[in-house]
Amino acid sequence: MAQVISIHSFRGGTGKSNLTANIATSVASQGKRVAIVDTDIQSPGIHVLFGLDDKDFTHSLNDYLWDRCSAKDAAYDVTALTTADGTPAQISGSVHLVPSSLKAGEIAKILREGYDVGLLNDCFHDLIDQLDLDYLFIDTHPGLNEETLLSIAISDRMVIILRPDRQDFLGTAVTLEVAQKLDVPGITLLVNKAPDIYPRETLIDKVQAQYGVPVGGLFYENDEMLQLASGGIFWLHHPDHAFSQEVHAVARQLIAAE
Amino acid sequence: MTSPAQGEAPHPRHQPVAAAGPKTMTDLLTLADPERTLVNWLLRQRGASLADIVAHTQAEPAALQAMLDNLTATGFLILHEDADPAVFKPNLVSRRPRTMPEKLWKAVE
Ligand SMILES: Nc1ncnc2c1ncn2[C@@H]1O[C@H](COP(=O)(O)OP(=O)(O)O)[C@@H](O)[C@H]1O
Ligand SMILES: [Mg+2]
Repeated sequence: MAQVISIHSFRGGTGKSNLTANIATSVASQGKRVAIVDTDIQSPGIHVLFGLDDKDFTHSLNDYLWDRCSAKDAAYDVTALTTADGTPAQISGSVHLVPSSLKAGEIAKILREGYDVGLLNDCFHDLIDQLDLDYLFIDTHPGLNEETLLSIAISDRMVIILRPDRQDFLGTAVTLEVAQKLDVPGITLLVNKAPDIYPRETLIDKVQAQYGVPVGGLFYENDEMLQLASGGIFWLHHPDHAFSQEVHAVARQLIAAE
Repeated sequence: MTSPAQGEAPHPRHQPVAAAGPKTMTDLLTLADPERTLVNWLLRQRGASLADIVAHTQAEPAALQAMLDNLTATGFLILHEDADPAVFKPNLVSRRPRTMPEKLWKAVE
């Protein structure tokens, strides 16, 4: 059975798209068939990390929701990734990406009219069947809204990314309460952009104690990430970096938790 | 980005519509525990027949039927009778409150 993993954060700029892309490709590098759906309809962006722009795709998630294409037609194979020196990356599995439309009119239309929640759910299942997936990752819009509630409700595992910041802490507590109401089978917290003054164990213990939910990974704020500026998949550019090691550790946990 | 159906207004896919529905995900959160748990499960399953629901919930059939009737009447579920056996499916849509003035929507569409 394929696993649906939705990635959330209460506020924007937390590192959701970067962590989703990194973790999903790491899972694929461990031989799994993976797809990522950009359900951040209002502010799509994860395609950038895969070097795609709007000219590279003719179909998007929006087209599926409007019955203009099949789920598979809106999925782009982005497995052919390269490392920092331009050599092909070793991805033994596969990665597909379903982008969200970048056209202002299409964004406006779907936000205004909404869509049948069952259809988004159908899209996820069609992708799993048509692409024979092991994992489906859902990159979501920050905060709680109708779309994020749906992705929470239908996922097998929910990953919540937070920064060590009071505003994130409060928002995360609310998100966890909602997740409980929606009966999510598994929840993992990832702490991102930790300032390096905090020792790892102290911070992990503190967050776990606060929420009573396991912390699956801790990522420090780092200059290399800032320099990459979403220009690629971090672990392919900096394979030996502590951030990359943590990405692989999280990916291994997700695979083991199945 | 080019689109295959240029010029043609996209139509949302059609599903049978219940009188009181559809509901939103936010409405789902307001349901009492047993109802919400059932709709959550149906959402994950993408629908189930009465027999499957009975098998899953192990609930007393009369009480379960009453709950299903109530959820259908209030618009949370639709009974799709074209399937055999008929299946109960969640009847939920994503629609945000219109915080943007109509004129602005028109301007970007
Ligand atoms: N650990 C980190 N250290 C430094 N910069 C980071 C880190 N994680 C993410 N960033 C940067 O933060 C910005 C926002 O990341 P993004 O993944 O787009 O967040 P979101 O999807 O949550 O809005 C990007 O510029 C990214 O490079
Ligand atoms: Mg993002």
